[in-house]
Amino acid sequence: MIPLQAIAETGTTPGGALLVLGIVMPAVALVALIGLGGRAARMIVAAALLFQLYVAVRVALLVAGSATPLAYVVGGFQPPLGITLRADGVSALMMVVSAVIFLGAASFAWKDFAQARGQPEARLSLIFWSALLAMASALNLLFTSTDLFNLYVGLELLTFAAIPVVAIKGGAETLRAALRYLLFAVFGSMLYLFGIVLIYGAYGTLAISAIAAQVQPNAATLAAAGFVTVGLLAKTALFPFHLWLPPAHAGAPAAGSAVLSALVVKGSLFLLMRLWFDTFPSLREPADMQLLAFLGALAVIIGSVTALRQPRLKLLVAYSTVAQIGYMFFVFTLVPKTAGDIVASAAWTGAWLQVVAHAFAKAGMFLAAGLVAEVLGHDRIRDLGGLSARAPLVVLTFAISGLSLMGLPPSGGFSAKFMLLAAALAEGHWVWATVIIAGGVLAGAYVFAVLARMMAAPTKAAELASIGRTRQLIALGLASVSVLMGLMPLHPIAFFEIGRFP
Amino acid sequence: MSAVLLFWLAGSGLIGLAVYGLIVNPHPLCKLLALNLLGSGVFLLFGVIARRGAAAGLGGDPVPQALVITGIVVAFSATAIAVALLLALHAEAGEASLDQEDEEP
Amino acid sequence: MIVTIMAMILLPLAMALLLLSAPLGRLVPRLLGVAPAPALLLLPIAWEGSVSSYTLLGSWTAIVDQAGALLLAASGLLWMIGGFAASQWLKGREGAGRFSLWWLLTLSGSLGVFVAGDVVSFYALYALASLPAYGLIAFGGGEEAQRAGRATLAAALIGEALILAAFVLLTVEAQGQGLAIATVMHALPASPEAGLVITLVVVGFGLKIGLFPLHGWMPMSYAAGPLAAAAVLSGATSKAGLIGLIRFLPLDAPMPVAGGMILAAGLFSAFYGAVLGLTQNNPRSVLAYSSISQLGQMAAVLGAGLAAGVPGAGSIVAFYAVYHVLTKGGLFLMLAAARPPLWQLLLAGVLALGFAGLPLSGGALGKLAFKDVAGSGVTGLLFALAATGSTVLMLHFLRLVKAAPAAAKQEPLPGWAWIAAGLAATLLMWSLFGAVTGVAAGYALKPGVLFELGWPVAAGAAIAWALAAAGTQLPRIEPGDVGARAIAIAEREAPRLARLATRFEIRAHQWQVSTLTLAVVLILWVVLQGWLAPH
Repeated sequence: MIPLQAIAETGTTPGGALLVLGIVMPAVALVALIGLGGRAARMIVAAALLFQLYVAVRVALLVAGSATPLAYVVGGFQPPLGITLRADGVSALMMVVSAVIFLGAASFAWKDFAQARGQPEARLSLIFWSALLAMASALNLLFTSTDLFNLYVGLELLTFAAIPVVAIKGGAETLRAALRYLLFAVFGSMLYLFGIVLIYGAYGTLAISAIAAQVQPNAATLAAAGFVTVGLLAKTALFPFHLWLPPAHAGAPAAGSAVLSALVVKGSLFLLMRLWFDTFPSLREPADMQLLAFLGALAVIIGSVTALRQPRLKLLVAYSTVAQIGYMFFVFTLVPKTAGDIVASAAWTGAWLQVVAHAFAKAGMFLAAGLVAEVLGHDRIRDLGGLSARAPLVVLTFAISGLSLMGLPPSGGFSAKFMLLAAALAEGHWVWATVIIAGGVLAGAYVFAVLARMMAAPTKAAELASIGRTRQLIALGLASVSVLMGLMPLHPIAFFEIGRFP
Repeated sequence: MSAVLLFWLAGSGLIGLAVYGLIVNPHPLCKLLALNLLGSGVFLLFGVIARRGAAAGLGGDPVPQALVITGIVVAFSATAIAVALLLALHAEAGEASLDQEDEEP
Repeated sequence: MIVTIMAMILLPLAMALLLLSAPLGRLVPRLLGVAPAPALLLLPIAWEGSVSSYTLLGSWTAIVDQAGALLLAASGLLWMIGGFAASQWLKGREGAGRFSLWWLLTLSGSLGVFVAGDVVSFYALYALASLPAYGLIAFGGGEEAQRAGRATLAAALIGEALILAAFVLLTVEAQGQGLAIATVMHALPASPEAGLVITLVVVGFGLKIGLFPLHGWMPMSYAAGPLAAAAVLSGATSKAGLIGLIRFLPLDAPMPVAGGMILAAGLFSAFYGAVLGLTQNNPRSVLAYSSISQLGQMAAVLGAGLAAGVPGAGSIVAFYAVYHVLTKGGLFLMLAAARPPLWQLLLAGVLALGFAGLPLSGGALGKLAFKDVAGSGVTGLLFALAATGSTVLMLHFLRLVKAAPAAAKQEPLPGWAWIAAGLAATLLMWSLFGAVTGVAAGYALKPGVLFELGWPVAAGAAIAWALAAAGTQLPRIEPGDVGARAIAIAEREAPRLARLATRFEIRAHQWQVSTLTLAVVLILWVVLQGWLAPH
């Protein structure tokens, strides 16, 4: 039996077409890019991403204004045959976040991937810009689609767009990283696809709302949930499935790393949360969710310690991503099955704040790390001395991103940690609470280890390259968002709850 | 043994083989082939599902068939990218291996 | 008032931002003494008993009460004196900008924490008072300085973690009624987690005030940092831990067990610091151990207050701390002088013995103020004996200063600075005594009171004389004693553990291991689901 709400939600709402624009416009721009060639590339990208931001903000305002999700039934075909796009609170949130970070990354890369006049067209810049657009489109698809197969396509598109960004610098090491990434990610998506097959076999539909309405804890569904989840874990790089992440994220150009770490890993995480909280929430068995939290805890501890021992800055930042992803997996145990009370809301808000705060902090930090490498010509942490005198803004950027990662107020990272901790303690999850707190100490250690080196006296006189002020300000701006988020009151945010499937 | 069960077993067998190959075979090309095998297994199961869910008078449920076609396209793209990367890696490093130097920092 | 509070917190941060600009940034190191100026506008509140709270920004609130204002007044003055001294020392020095940055960040947090009114702003400002201290201590860049800096940072980070746990528990127990300290503390006594919260609070802030056995980092860092930094760290920032105890112990609800334990721990720390201080050669380490001893006594008074449920214990301890803030800071600044003339030695002697309650000194007034809270009988006697210990320790300090080894590295700090700090301490104590205790300061001049204060000092002097006469050589113990041993073990073991974790990670990120784990997790998952799902 399909509840009334599910039926009511199959209709297109006013403004629903915006969701289509969010997915299609970057794709159209991508086609235009390939048609018009590399010389117009940057302008097209800029226009597309600005439009993207407009769409995202409009969607967010509409969702916030009506307190109901936006929906669009593609082609007028109702599910189960057709596909419904749907933006609830968290979709709208992620659309805005991704639009802002894409814009930041694109402006950061503006000069690096320019097409010089009078020179033959460089393939690399064309590849970079098209990959950026493809990622933007794929992410919006992941944030809004409600069809499991459609989501699979989005997932694959995202991976295929991310691979060239990883490999763009060339060199054996980055190519190897890209290949590892690709093979592992495809393995993950095949598992996901297998899960989808089982679900279709059991329910005859792939629409999330329809599955949610009739889900049963039978063998096929349970197996399907397992395959889908584990496949997505591989794509999200949850420890110990992170083998591809550090070399891939450290090997990409700075703007690429920022997008990969801030957004791309969140794509599959978003889907995972969509599945466990919207598609089959009733299947959330404490034991399985504890397994996810356990892997998350391992990620936090091992990832942070490994970060602390990295000799290179970009690798440190990448391992910090491995650790920070771990925090997001606590939400699966902290939001109890019978949702609705304040504790559940705190955990839910905390997890999304963690996603968003990490996105901005990590984007800022990767851009800062890229600038460090450019100023000094290397990113060996041991030899960072003297940077504070030469590039104080970069050090400031690193410091305030670090503030959020360590979870010191005021920062979004603090608010996230505080709410996750509050939920964990309120429900008596002492182990996870301890891990959250210990992770903060370890993050403090690796952030300070770098800052101390940056602030130290110069180790040797080196040739220092100069970097533009604009790019420093972009990195600083993105990092500042994570700090400004900390000024919001520490309450569960109602916007994140809009349109959650019951 | 019904045809559905046979195809189930064949698909599952393919998947098992593929996962085994993916885990143990060190060469990236073999891993890639294993992934394709994995894909074939999954697609075969799609077919089984389609047969089972077919309405009266139809040879199969059209939805899984449509999905399989999309899946094949995706798998093909993945293979293409992987081969391109493999070739580039081979040209760059003289050998195509996934092993990275794991020196302790 | 809001403007003043905001200015107090933001002016140093704004000056720190100025360091980003090359031409203006060069001015900042010369203006360190100006940065704490807004705090002095809050000075008059120290004389008032009123409590008022303000909303600063969003959920960030400030609370101004007597305990906070007392610590603020003393710390503000010390930061100002120390700032002028540091400016002079920094003139033309390599890295003046870096030093100023760490200085200003610490300053902002150190003063702000005294007025923080909710758990979030308290946590933020406490972190600001604690973490940047690393840069001040490690400024010299030598191996010893870096080691001390790391130890301080580790203590600060662990302290932060414990405090965060306590704060979140407090907020949870208050059931979302708010984040204001008054609100969350109101719910504490009745909460089932009260014992845990108080433990976290005592250990967390105990790390900051060097409560035994959490004191190891203190002698290390005060011996390693530049003198101006050691002065403000020992005088002002250590009081961030004290205000933490004042704010987050439920002093208005009698808790005999918890209070008794804190009392015992504090008194033990007081004796431990005094005895171990005698084993030190370096006057800086002696001062550090004296801090451990003094802060232990302050914690002990708070413990006594908690045991009996004395809400006013906070102001009284803060009043006692006023003397310690300025005098301890001043004595560190004095160490810059190569061979002080006799009159300076005498002055330093009076100030130093003030810690032991030398009659008529400022410190004596502090001891008189907490007499009622500390109680009479055995505890009273123990406090008196702690004063005796302080006397012996301070005489040891004076002997070391007098013998000042010429080889000791001297830092050119202005000679007036320490005298100003000492005088300010004495003046503040005398003028505040009436306002805090409600008893006229003339009370301190009564013969009975003089005797009561005097005998522990006399006894201490006698012991010191006897020790010297007998030529007793106390063993030399490395600064930080068991704490330093613990730090050394941590320094050895932590990298080993980290290496282990890294090795584990390297194993885990191998293709075969990772994919195999993936398969295992998958199977485990399906099995778990199958078993546990309701059928």
